[in-house]
Amino acid sequence: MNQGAARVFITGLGIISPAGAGADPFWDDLCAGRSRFVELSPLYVGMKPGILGGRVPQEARDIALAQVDAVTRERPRDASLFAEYAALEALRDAGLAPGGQALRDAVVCVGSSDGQAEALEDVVAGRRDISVTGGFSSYSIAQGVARTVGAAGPAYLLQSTCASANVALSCALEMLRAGVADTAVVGGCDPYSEKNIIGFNTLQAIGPVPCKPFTRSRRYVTPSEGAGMFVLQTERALRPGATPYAEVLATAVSNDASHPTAPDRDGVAACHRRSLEEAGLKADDIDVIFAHGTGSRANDTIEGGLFAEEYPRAAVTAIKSTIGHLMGAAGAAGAVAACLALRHRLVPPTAVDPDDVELDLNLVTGAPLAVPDLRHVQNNAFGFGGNNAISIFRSVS
Amino acid sequence: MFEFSLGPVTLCAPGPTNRMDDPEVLPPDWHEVIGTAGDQFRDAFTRTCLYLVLGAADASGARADGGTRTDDTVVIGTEYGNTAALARLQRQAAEKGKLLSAQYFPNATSSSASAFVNLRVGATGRNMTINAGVLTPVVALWQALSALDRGRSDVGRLLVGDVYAPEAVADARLDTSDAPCRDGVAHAFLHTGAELTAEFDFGAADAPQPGLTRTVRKTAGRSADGAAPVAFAERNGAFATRAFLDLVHTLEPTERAVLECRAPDGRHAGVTVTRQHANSTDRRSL
Repeated sequence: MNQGAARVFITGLGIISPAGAGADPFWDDLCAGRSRFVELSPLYVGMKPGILGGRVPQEARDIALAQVDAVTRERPRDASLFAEYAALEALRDAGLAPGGQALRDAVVCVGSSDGQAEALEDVVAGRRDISVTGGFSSYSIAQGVARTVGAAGPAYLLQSTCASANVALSCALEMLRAGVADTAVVGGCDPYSEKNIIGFNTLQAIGPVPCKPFTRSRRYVTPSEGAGMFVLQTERALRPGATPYAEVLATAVSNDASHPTAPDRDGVAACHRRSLEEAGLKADDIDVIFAHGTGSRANDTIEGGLFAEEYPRAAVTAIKSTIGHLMGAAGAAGAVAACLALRHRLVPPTAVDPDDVELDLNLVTGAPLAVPDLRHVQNNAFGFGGNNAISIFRSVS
Repeated sequence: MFEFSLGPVTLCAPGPTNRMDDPEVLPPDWHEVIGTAGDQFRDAFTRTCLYLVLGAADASGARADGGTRTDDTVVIGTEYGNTAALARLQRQAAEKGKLLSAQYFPNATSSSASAFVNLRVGATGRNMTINAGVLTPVVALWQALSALDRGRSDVGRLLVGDVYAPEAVADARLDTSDAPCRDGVAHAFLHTGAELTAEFDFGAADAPQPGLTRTVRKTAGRSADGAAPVAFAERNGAFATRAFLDLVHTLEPTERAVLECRAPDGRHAGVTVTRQHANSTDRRSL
């Protein structure tokens, strides 16, 4: 398989989540195993009260709103607000300025499942006219990020349900390795979506108990919102003295072609094999896995089973127990967490009772796990429609 | 630059979305090809994509939907995709309350068409739904060809277009008020091979420009001389994509076909396909 010549690195991170605005509160909450779930209001007759979800707090929204440009401030849509804030943080972290030379031809690639959800939902419900919403085309998210960072290269949005952000990373990686550009601003975002909550409720997949990945008592997914963005740069674009968070070795994308909603073990296993093949590694080389770990019966049974059988050496963690399931941005949150784990040599815990863990799984619980020799980190994201995408990062130090 | 071979190209443009249940506007083999199961849940965009992928035969003559699993890549380029199903789920929830069927949701994600295409044709390779606005045809083609170039798949299935829900028409008018929204989806098989090369160009103008531009033209060799560009006024990229790929099929060695897209925000993208060798496959579009 031809991987292209260029080595590609992650040089900047940005995130907004229920933990707040920025990578610091995100990392603090992950390491503390602290969740901030709230009860979601019923959206239709028959939807029970008390269902838990993660929402970006108002204080974090205000911080984001103060930083994005006038176009977004005038008619803020959550997906754009989140993605543009996270992109700006990632740029600062990478030592880049919006509109700078490094960004002139940059690729912008954003993954999102629900896009500008509230704009479409308001139009459908007759709450607002479309001209007032600013529109719901998902492309406008990528367009807004490109405008914000001053990038004139290809800008596009990827939709692959909850694997969207990892697929976006893969697509941007392909473009950098092919020489389209030397810098990309990439990640994922998803806002709270009524349609999504309704859909998950019809499947009885959400409820009043927070998600408890890989436990015997797991029952529900906890929907959440936010955005994670990062700056990708080829080796020749790195600033002198720069210390990237990670080298991106692979992002494999595949489809189960099996069932519209249920994951397929063979398909998920195939994506694991593809990611290792693309990275030139064996399963034993993986030190840490940021699992998709939704807390659903089906996902965790398949994913946990694969970890137990194929990755007995790897430490596993599932951050959805802390920040919830960011849907199309889930892979981006995982990637940001993976990079911070590589930087701090620390694996944040899964916020579950260790005595409740199912399978013979090396699940990190309780205190963060120190891994001084941390080298390879895997980040999983899967979604409805059989979508699978797995990234593998390597330490650069 | 990517090397590839082009298989059959098809277009389905059955008529306005609100007439998709009208037999008069549908292809005669519509129900034979895609069946009717799930029609109360799946929208016209998903059904049109399924009609194209299940009805098309690739260069080997093999028909899809045979239950065989492949590592084919599926790339769908669309601006509004499954908007109709998303809106319907929301309306049905308001109307039916707790009686809402769980079968709406799998058909009402932003990539439901891709999910059902992969499922029905057994494609386990890369798959994605791409929205690059007016530039969608070029970006989608880039990703489909990249998958072949990297050896990830031997076959790519490219679908480009939209079947517009009323909300989508209103949204499209926000930035291209003069561009008609005509329903249609183009489908093409892309294969590994060396008959054709594709070179891409991406960039942006210094300032936005009103309206959108998509043109298709043929040139001889490296010269810019050739037939006058054909412009496509529709918002939907399906028609320019179909015309471009049809033109590619007609190229003689060293001739080139060019697709250029310019968006109202000043962003532009182009692809130039050059025939290297005589075509060993059926050049006809279907």
